[in-house]
Amino acid sequence: MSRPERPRTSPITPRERTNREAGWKGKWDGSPVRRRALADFDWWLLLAALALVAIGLLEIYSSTAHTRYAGLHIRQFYWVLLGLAIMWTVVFVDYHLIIEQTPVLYIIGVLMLLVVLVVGQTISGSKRWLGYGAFSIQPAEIFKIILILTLARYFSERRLRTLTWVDMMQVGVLAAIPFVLILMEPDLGTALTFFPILGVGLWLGGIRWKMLATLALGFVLILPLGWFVLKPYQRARLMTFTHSDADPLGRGYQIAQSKIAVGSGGLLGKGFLQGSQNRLGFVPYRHTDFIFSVVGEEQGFLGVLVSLLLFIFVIFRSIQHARSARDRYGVFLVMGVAALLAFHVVVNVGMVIGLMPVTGIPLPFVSSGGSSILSTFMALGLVLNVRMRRYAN
Amino acid sequence: MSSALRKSAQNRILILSLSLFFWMAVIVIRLVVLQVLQHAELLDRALRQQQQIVNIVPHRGGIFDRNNNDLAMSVDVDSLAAWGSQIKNPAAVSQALAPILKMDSREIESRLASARGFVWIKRKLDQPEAEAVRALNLKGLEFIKESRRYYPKRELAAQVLGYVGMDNEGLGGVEYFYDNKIKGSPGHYFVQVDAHRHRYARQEPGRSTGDETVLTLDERIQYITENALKEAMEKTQAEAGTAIVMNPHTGEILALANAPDFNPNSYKLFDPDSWKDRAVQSIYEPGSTFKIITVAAALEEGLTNPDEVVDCQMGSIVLAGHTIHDHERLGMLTVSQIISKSSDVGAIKLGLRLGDDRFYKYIRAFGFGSLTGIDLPGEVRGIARDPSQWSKISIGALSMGQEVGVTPIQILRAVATIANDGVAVRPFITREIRDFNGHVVVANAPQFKRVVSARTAVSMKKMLEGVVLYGTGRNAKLDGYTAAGKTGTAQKTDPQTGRYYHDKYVASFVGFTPVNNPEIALMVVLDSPKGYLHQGGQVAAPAWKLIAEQTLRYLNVPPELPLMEVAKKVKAPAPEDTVSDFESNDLSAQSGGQDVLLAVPAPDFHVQPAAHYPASNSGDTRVEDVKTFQATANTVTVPSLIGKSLREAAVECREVGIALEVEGSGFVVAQNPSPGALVPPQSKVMAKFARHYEKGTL
Repeated sequence: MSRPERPRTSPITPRERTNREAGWKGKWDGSPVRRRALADFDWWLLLAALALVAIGLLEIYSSTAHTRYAGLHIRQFYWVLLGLAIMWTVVFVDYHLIIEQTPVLYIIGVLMLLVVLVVGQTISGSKRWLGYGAFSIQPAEIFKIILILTLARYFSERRLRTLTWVDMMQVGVLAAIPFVLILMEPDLGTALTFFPILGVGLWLGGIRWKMLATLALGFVLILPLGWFVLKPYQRARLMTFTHSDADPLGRGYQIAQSKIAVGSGGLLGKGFLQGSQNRLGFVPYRHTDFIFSVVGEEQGFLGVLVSLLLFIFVIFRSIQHARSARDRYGVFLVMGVAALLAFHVVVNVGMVIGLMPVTGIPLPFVSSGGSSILSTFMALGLVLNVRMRRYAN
Repeated sequence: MSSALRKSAQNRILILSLSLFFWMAVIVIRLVVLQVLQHAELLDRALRQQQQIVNIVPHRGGIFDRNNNDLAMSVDVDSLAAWGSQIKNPAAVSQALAPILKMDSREIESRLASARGFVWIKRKLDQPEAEAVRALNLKGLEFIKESRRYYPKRELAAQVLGYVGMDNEGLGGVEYFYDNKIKGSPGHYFVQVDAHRHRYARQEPGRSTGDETVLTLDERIQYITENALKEAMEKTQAEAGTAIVMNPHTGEILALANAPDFNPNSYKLFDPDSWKDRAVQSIYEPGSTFKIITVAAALEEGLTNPDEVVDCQMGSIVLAGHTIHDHERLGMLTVSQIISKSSDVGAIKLGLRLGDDRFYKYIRAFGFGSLTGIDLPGEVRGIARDPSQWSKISIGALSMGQEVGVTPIQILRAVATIANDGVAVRPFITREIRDFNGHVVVANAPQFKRVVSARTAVSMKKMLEGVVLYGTGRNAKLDGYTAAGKTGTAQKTDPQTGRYYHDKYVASFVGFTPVNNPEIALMVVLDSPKGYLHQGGQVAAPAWKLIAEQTLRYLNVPPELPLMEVAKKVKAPAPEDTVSDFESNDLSAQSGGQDVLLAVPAPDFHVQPAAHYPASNSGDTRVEDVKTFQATANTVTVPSLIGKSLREAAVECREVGIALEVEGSGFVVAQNPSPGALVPPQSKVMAKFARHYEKGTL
């Protein structure tokens, strides 16, 4: 312990690094799951997530019954099963091993994003999906997890207390490559989810206030330029948000209808399958991005509050796990996931109730959609993984 | 706590947590605003956009005759409409539709092109048209159910019923007069609509229906009247005609016919002139029928009596320097004869005795120059000028029915006043209006006003009977019934020159029957009959007779007089014995002028009682002995039931051993077979019950 550390010539693995920091010498024992770790599995977190999934399944059924999407809740159920399987796999592989593979995962992810731009299925003007028919996934959704892993590794292995401009550049490039690829699909909503992941990394990585202020200034200066980068429909969405009541039948239609749906639900809601706004098709994308308005209409303020409390439980429980994580890898992983979930919830719910512009990002666990379910359960798997391995051996 | 995080990082996590809390708080506040504070408003907005108000054009209420036979009804038909913007190829659609709808394809095309939204193509299609269009299965076309008025009896009572426009608005007759009742209030119901404006009706509401109108018309009498009028029109080639049948005691119009007629189902195809209800809308100079007013006024004022002899100066009289010629050279006539022979000079002399003001008072009292108040649209007052506007000879002209404009209904009411013992009634055509649930909304009750005394009325009745028996109206003599009436033949005025036509007349006959207890007051007017025969007694009286006889028979009014046709038939094989003494005795009571109706057996009963007619009808010898079949041991004598209550009549019949068949309520006013007739035991006796007619307030 008192021996001074020798400078290393070969890179060490995340596992070795963690063990060394914990004062544990020697090789990793290689056992992937241990009894004690399983005892630390956070069943409550999974339960809360499954409760949200259940709410989602009910409202997907309600919003698709007698439409051409009828039966989507069954497909969603299968996606959830697949998601649970992947989550389980993620849980049982030590997160250090996963983090070790980030360069490979990053390269695979970028390749997938390139492939989707070439051969992806085009649905309503965007090339987002890879795969065939019902079994399509969005590489962009999966890349969110890869980005969390990548940034977690990057920030964890920084030894300085603060970030330098060089760090910023490196992190910026790592995030910008997939960001631009996703924007080209185009999928602004998913691209935006990179910001909370990047932001929480920078924040916890020790970004200085001065640097933050400079970034903010630069962002404000670049923002007008961004307006020209945006596609016309994206500009329209933003216009709609700032002038939502000016044109309720036109572009503001979605937000107006969603607000009407939520508001007409009242305190206790209209009841399961009774949401007329929903069932008569006034709320657009009601089984995907606007599922929360269906919850609001049919289950009322009470149902919405329960859903929000479940999300708050999941997010704060994750933050709790981050604080009790064994190492910086764990902290950054879990905080990345927590930030991602929080961003999704705030932006999605904010959109549904007219607080935020329409960005088209799904509500985790609840919205219908295979990629979203898969990536969310992957993320949950990471949190559970870190939580299970919070104690040094 | 793990050592993995520095103190500053812990703080930074705390800051993140707090900002998340902040956002969650904002979201929850927003949700409270939406779901609690703005809940009512947003719910209202939701309902408004999810519901569409669909207006229901109500069915017009049906129109029925007094026996609830349908005269007008409403049926659902298809109308064809289009959404202009949904028609991709207007030219092709128009060409496909044009032959089916029998319309010009260019017209359809211009309609489709002109409107981006909703446009009617053709409304109220026939069944085959609608089916053919449906078979085309074209996009953008829409069928809309509309209510169409249907008159199942076609021309029957067309002018009374009126007709209905494209938007179900009543345009004539009762349809117009009671339009706001018949039309019904437009209802509406809500349907759910989805975001694409597709409708989902949750429940199809019952169609709202306007009120139902029950007329006083009897479709059978109406049919009789129209047929007779049509026949008269054909015979006389008259330009127009009107016939009205009224209950003189109540004012109920039993039939009202106009010629030429039209079919209200397709009224547009007919000359608008045929839509006119001449009975209330046409003014004509009444001519001699107006002498009833002159004589009645003179009688009422005590200026004359029926048997007073007046010198009719061989058919001419000089009035204020003008010589007026009668249609016939008549000498000394009783007042009765002035009426029966329709002497102009005699009438003028009586008119002169009255003087301007008194005569005018009676003209107004009989209702001329004012509306009768009948519930039909467009009734006109007629023309009855104030004496201040009269010329020197006006009194003479008025006495014989000139210089006065009347409607047929006014003259009929005046005569009905005589028939009703001097009490005028308000004519009306609608018995009651009831709503969809059968509750009566409007009920028309008779209204009365005494005009002349009963004494005057009875005298007038006798005089008017004379017209039929031996005066100008002999063509109206009825088979089996007494009748009273007055002929009228007035020259028409040329509306351009204001002068009388030489060859155009309005021929009329107005009267009532039976004389002593009139069942009907009846008027027939023929406008401009062509040919040599043009006088009321010649052209109008035969039609009057036809209507009166058939109507009385239909109303089951027992004949008072021997039926000519049947009597002849029966006479030949008549057995020797008669039972005529019964009849004679019983009928002697009738000569006292009582309102007693005596029943006689129906023609097929082979019993012909002798009828004794009141002696006042001099010159008429109708007393005949008619044979009946022999009384045997196996017969019973029919008791007299007249004046008895139902219970009394039933007891009487049981004692004798015959069956009683009851019609109406109140007291027996007629029976068949008549009292004293010999019938087989257990045979039926029909008794007609009625409540005694009560005179209304003055």
